[in-house]
Amino acid sequence: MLEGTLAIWFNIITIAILTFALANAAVSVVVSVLAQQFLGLQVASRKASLWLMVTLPWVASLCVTFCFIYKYYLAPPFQATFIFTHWHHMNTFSWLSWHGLTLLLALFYLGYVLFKKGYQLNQHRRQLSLLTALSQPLENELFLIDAPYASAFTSGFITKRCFITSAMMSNTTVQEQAVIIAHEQAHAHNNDPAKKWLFSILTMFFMPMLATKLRLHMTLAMEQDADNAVISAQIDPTIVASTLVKVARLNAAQTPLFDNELVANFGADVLEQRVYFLLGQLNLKPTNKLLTSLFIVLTLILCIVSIDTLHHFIETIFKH
Amino acid sequence: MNLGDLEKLVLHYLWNHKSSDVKQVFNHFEKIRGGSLNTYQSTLDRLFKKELLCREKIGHAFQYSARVERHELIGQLIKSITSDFMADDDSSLVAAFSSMSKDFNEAQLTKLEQLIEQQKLKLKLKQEQ
Repeated sequence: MLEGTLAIWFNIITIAILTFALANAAVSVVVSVLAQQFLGLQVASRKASLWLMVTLPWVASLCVTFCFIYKYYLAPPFQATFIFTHWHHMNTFSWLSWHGLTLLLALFYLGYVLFKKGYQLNQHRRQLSLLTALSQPLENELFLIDAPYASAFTSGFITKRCFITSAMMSNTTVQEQAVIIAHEQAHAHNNDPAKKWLFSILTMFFMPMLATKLRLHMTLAMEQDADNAVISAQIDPTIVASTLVKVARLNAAQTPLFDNELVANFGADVLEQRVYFLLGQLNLKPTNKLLTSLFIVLTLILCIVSIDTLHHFIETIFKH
Repeated sequence: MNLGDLEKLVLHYLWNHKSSDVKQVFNHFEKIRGGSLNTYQSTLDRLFKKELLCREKIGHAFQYSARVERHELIGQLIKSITSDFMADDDSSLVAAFSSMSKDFNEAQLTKLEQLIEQQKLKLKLKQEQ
């Protein structure tokens, strides 16, 4: 049994973890119910909403933790107003309790996520530099890969590199190549590889099915944003759309076409959505700021109000 | 994993010549770009350590050969780097032109093409008016 300052800090971290779980549950419910509604949002609003969804549990956790720290160290003025910030054994902490177990499990999962992502990043960096070495530089950070598969992509955190394969070049017209390269350069300009990476880390704290949904929505938003950048460069949207479908055909020729399961269907929707978006057939709206603010405030209130109740509820089953 | 200029040249040489020992590599490059036998020996060692070459001891010398063919290696790298954002093996480090488009069937693609053609036609008519 720990007592004193160390116990206070371990209890505060446990509060942060519980708050995170509560806020995560609130966001999960909203994403599950409103996932399809995201498709009706304007690209910038959708991106902002998605970032909000994945960061809200962290923000809520920080805010509630701050309230507890504030109350504990600056008690008199705070205690009177924030009666909800109650934790009835702040001075003691036992590793052989549900608090200890919660703390250990959370730290273990956090360590696992950071290790996994760090390992993948390192592997990706090695593969990317090898591919760069085997490619031929064309112009400013654009590389040509001699390969029989049609592919174009952008990667890199600090130095963003766009790659296009020789098969893609030989199967497309000059105009289509301009669309593909402008699209990839837009990804590089928007720093999308790094943002996608960060987003994927944040989604790892959600249930796998929700995480997949969130990543798909972010992918679609980023792709539409890059498509938008191509249109801004005075390229006809119908040319961008037809290039997209042509590349889909080229990709399909390399891999067997199949009717899809849940994920693949949604993947299909991504291309469909992009084409509809380019043809101006989607009536996209901005986010309702009032509802979004209300959701943030309600989540924070839910967390701060429920933390003590949740604590007592758990302790009807487990000991301290 | 970075590759130096000489490493790239030696790798390309081994892709074209299947299997060679250090003397054969040295004899080939000596006329083109000079360098000592040791330079080529250490280059082959580095490529072996980078797991791009495999080697087999025949007599007193190692015979080096490329671990995978050029197109195969490039294919593996592209696949690994761009692997689907949906999959656990992560392509969140990549933004691809049509990352999702392979999971499509013929009817869906045809439907989209017709839609684009209709839109083009509409725009053309508008311009003519």
